[in-house]
Amino acid sequence: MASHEITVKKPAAVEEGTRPGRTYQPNVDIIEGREGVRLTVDLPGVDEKTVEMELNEGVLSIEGRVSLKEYEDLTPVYTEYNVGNFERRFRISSRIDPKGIQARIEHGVLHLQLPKAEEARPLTITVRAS
Amino acid sequence: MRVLSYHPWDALLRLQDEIERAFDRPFGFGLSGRGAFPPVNVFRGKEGYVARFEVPGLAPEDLSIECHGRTLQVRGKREAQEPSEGSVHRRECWSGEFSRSLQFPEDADLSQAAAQCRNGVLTVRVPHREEAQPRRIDVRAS
Repeated sequence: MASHEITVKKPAAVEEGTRPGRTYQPNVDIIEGREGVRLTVDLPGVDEKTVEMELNEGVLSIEGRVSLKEYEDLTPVYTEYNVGNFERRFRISSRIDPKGIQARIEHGVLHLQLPKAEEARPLTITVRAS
Repeated sequence: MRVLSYHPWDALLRLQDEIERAFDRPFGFGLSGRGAFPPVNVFRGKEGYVARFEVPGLAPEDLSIECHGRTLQVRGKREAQEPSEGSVHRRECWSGEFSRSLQFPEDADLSQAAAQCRNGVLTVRVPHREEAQPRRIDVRAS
């Protein structure tokens, strides 16, 4: 049986929220390559209509809202995770080309491709024999 | 008595509070263990039980569900996102194979269970047994 310490979701670290209700921090994979940064964000219960993203001054914000309709008239009897909206911010260190950002959400997972700006990509210099 | 909600935010707060109160509440559910993937919440509704698993990244065809007596078993596999090149800065998303079992109380009818997977959330609905459904008793004049 595979086990993993993820049961209790971390509350999102946000400055003074103005919205009621608790928000939670989604799990994320970040992989950086030569061409760009790839982010995989777990947002179970969120679809393309309820996800919002913003890149502002090097800070990428991701928000996902979950629907409560499916919880109407239900009483919890055993619980391992709390239900709430997701929110997480990332400071992007490399220079990103905002026009080239690609985002796709599938089965509750947001896949983000952030291409590096031309000047931020590693440059290969060919050395010629004289 | 349930108070009708007048605002969706109130509903969210109430649900979150209810879920927190239910943490560790002992019930008739036998579980293979807390802390396992995928985490599950079990609710009781008018028609029966609703078990909801968080399975981000899994399509319906990646999951298999079996019922053995009163036990429901959910199995599946999530492939890891392998970097073709570059370095991994964070790896928090769960991946691998899993199997979880849930034991339902006597009044659940697992032969009538139905499952649906949408946006990375698997919902299994297990109705009450017919004899456990509320029954109306007519009062006759003698």
